[in-house]
Amino acid sequence: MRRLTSAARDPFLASMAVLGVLVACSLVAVAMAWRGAAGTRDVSAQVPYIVSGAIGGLGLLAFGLGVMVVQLRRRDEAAQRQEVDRVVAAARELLAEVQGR
Amino acid sequence: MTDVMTTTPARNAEAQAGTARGWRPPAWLRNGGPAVTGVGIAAAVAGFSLILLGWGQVAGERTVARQIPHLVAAGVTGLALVLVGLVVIDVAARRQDARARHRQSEQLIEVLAEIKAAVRSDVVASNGVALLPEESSDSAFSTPLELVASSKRVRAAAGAGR
Repeated sequence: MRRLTSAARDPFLASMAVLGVLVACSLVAVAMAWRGAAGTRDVSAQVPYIVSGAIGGLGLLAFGLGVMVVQLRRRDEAAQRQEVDRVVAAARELLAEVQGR
Repeated sequence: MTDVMTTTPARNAEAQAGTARGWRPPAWLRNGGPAVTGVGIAAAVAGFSLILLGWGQVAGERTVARQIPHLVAAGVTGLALVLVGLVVIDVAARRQDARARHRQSEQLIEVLAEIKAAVRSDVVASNGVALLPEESSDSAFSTPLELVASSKRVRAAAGAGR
């Protein structure tokens, strides 16, 4: 329970969870569209399913996965910036050492 | 070889902004701030709304021939808007990260330049002569070999001074 609370506080994990739900919803929408379209032989009744379920679901899927990729890349960038911060700190220490001589 | 330590922040900013000539987008657009991310989210929301609108229109028609124009106009355009919004969000995030990285590089270059100045004054104080080459307008060390030779001279001088 404590682990779940700490995971919810992490903005990265929280956003990934929301985006995961979004992706799951998009897959459910596509499945529902397939079910609805398969349930009728009238093409004019099938087209609304294609628009709402297939196109809408595809849009949701693309958006969810795309933002997920953006979030993952930003997390990697943040880790890289932390590394560079360490290099800057080491350079500052070296400067203090040189100036102290 | 260009010496990064002698590169001015202004020159860096110019290089980051691209060419100085021609049209330059406003700063809020160039730096990809939260406003650009907001534009991307708005485009995606507009796309989803258009898909919803298209679904309403398509469901109201009973013939396929009348449904197809709504499908193309609202459905496909909505999907395209969602993708455009996604790309705008991605570009904004990349710009923000690039700006943060640029700030860090500036800090590092600043500290390295201070170290360089401190080492130079230290060497001059202990030997009475400057072993490190004076900074020229563009680069302090024209070749990597010169840099290695210079650092060897500094090390030798430091050893002799002890």
